[in-house]
Order: sequence, then structure tokens, then C-alpha cells
Amino acid sequence: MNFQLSPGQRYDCVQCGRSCQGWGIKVEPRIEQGLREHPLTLRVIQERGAAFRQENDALYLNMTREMPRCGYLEADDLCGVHRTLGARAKPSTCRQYPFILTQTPDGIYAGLAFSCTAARANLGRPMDEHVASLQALVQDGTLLNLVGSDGLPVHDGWFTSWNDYLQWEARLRAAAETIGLEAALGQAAANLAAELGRQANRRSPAWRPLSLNNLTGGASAASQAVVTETLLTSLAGQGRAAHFDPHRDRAPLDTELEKQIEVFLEHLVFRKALVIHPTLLSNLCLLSVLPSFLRCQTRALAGSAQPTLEHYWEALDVAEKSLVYHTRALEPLYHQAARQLVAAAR
Amino acid sequence: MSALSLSPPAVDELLQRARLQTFDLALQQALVAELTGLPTPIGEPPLAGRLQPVLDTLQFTLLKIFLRLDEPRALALDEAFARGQALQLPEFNWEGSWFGFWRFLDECVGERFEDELEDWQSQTLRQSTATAADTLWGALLVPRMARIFAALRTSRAGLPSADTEQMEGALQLAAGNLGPHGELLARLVLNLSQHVQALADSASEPARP
Repeated sequence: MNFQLSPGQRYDCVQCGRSCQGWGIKVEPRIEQGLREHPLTLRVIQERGAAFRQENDALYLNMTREMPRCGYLEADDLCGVHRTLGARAKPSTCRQYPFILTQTPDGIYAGLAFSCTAARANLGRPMDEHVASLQALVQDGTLLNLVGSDGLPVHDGWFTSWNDYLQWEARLRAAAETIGLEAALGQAAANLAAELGRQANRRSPAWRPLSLNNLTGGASAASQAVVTETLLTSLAGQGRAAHFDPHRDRAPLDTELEKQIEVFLEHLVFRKALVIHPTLLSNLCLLSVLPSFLRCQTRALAGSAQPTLEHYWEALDVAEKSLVYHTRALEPLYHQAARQLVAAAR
Repeated sequence: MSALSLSPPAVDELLQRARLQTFDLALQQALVAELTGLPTPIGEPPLAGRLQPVLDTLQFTLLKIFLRLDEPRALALDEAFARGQALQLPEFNWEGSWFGFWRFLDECVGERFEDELEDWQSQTLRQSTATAADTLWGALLVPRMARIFAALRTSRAGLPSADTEQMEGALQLAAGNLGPHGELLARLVLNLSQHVQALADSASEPARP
């Protein structure tokens, strides 16, 4: 099993307990069986009435708005199930977090969710020391994003190959060395939209291959700004982030916070966030507006005070949990931004 | 959803929309309007683009139904499709990924038969006596599957590109099964329509983190 690891990235649980609250965590039948009559579960039932709750066809850990903490989380912020019964007794979501695994033709990219305190602050052992746990996760059938060798959706019926994408990503990184990743992502989105705009109007909805070589001549900065504006306004309308105001100052934050934004973007590109669903162009639109979102939201959370790392972490939490992941309902917005960019390039 | 067939003014409006965008997009918009009552502005995909991925996946599902596979083979094809691996279709002399197949289709069929397919669509819309939903589903699905069958027939014949005869045969096969009065469409249409209605309902729900 070949894992691709982010150089320099570290992780180990720091027992903050933050990731063990406020989620809807599905409990598989095998896990429920193992926990059902265990004293731990009886304690949880005693404390909160029920250990699990049924929603539609699935069973979830009983975390509610009133009781957001997982009932199995103990006073020292460690998981009682893990401590008493071992990692394999936990629901697969709990076992996998914060790893985000993407199977590609070149192996499994092992990324991390930056909603995790340790991951975003780069605390713990280097990633290569986690390979044995990652192997066990994969062997136990953990959730993997799948990227085939020959079918990465680019936009509206266009697709490209993994090799083409990798070469394109290398050029994106090279551009980032000179102009920074945020600008490189914006330029890449504009160039890709321009290429799509140059293609003759298609009559057939059949999938068609697109080469990502030699993409140039992107939309003007003004058109890009309109797309950024629209997407941020749409995100505000979705109510995913409390206090989010797209009209706040989007100027760069202080150097340390700007460095953190760059680290987050770099990790998203590493963990192949650009090529997992829905499409390359819509993901590019999202990633290129994320820094603006993070700046606005960090300032909103700081209020009249000077924005600090704590404010940034809180903004990052929302960005990671609600805009990058768990985004099914937002995909049409990202797609709309992509279409708008292509239309502007025509 | 109406039990009536498409009215001549509805067909005229659809054909006018088809001239301003693509035929396929106009049909998607008309289908969603028929099933949910939701209008879509010209140039926009209906249901904010939620229908398109359904239609993409449906093509693979329909292909499997046409192949009348036994369960082990159907499961093997599903697995290969989900993982982007090679699909084995020996009856069509084809082995390659789903997107590899689209590369082949682009080379051997491309857009060379769009006039013929659009003629069939226009004629079907004007002449069909089936319900509006059946007619619209048929007009959407038949050209999609005809392109696929034409490419598969070309692969089976070992030719570099499809000729008129292959497309005519493919269109006949697709229309016989999935046209407004097709037997296969009759079996599927209720589920397909309910799925689109569910998509519309979920699109109108507020976003949840």
C-alpha cells in the first residue's frame, strides 16, 4: 500500500475534544452491537436518556444541540470507547478523523482535516509514523475518495486524465513559488475558464477530453472579482458561518495569519481537494475565494479587536467543516461560479 | 405531472429554447418544469445543475440494463466503474475505463450525427402521443444512448469511426427501448420522475452543515 504524505506535516491527538462534539456521527451496525450493552453505553444512557438516535435509515451517536459533546467522551477529553475497547470499536468516522484519504493511480494521498487542533497547528509525530494506522484503516474499509486515472471532471461535460492533472498541478505550484498560491489559484481558474470559453459551443452532452496543457489568456481581474463577490455573497446567504459579512475588509491579515492561510491552501492542494467532487473548475473557484472568506470571517470574529490566531482558527474551522467538506448543498454555488467565470471569459 | 401529451405551443417554446442554447439543455429545463413546475432561465441548467450528474450516471445504468448481465458481471462492472478501472465488454470488443470509452466515443462519433439526432428529437416532440413526461424523458435519453450504442458497434466492428448505418441501427435500438412508447422507458419512467422531484425538494431545503 503506497501512501503519499505531506512533507513537514505532523499530527497527534492533543486531547482538545473539539472534534468529538457537534457532528452527526453514523454508527455502523457492527459498532452498535459491540457497544449496545457495554457499561459505557449504560452510563451514557443514564446521563442523556439514549446513546444513539435514529435518523432516516441510519443510527447516529446521540449528540444534540443541547448536548453537543459525544456521550462517550470522558472528563479528560479522551474517548471512552477507544480507551476501554480499542480503536476498532469506534464508528469509522471517529477512527478516520482527522485523516482524509484519497486513492489515486499514484497511491493514497493521506491528508488531514484542518478542523483538527493538532493538524492545523502541526503538532505531533511526522505523518510517516502514522502509516501503520493508515494501513489498518484502509484494510478495515475506511472511506476513500477515489480518483481514477482517466476521468477527472473538469467542467460541464469536459474531463481530463490524472497525468494531465498532475502536470498542471506542478505548474500551479511553480507559479505559486513566484506569485503565491492564492494568486496562482485565481490565475489557474481564469486560464481554465478561458480555455473552456474558447471551445466551440457544443451540441452534444457527451463527455469530452480536455488537455490542461498551455492554458493561458484568463479572464480579466475585474471578471474574477465579480465571481469572487458573487460566490462570497452566495455563501453569506447560505448562513453557514455566523457573523460572516462578505463586505468586510478583505485586505491581508498580519504576516503570521497570512502564512497560515497559505499553509491551509497548500494542504488542500496536496490532499487533492481540487479533483475530488464536483469538478476541477468549481473547486478552483472555491479555493481561490477561501482566503477572502477567511480574512472576512477572522475580522468578523475579532470585532473591533486586532485579529489573532484564535480568531483565525475559529474562521478556519468553519471554512474546513462547512465550505470545503460537507458541501453537498453548496456544490451548485461553486458550479455556478465556475459557469460565470467561463461566461466572462467568452 | 400531467397525463396529457405535450401541447403544440409547449413544443414550439421548447424548440425555440433549443435554438438559443443546446437541445439537451432545453429538454432538461422542460422536463424539470413538467415534473416540478419550476421554471429555469435560458442558459441555466435546471435544479442548479443537480440533474446533469444524474443523467451522466444513468447512461451507465442503462448500458448495464441493455447488456442483460448476470449478477456477478453486473457487480464487477459496478466495481470497475466506481474505481475508474477497465470495464470488460467482450461483446463489443471493448476493454477500458468509462472515461476511456468517452475518449473513444469522442473520436469515433463526436458530433457528426447531431443533425440526425436533433431531427429525431424534433419529430418525436411534435408527433408523440405519449404523456409529456414520457416524451421528454425519451427525447433526452434516446440520443445519449444512441451515441453510446453507435460507439460500441464501431468498436465491435473494429472501425475507427461510426458510419451512418451504425448510427441508424443505434438510434433504432435506443428509440425502440427508451423512446416515448419504449418498453424499457415505461418500466423506468415513474422512478426517474420521482427522483427528479426528490432532487427539486432537496434543492429547496435550507443548506445544512
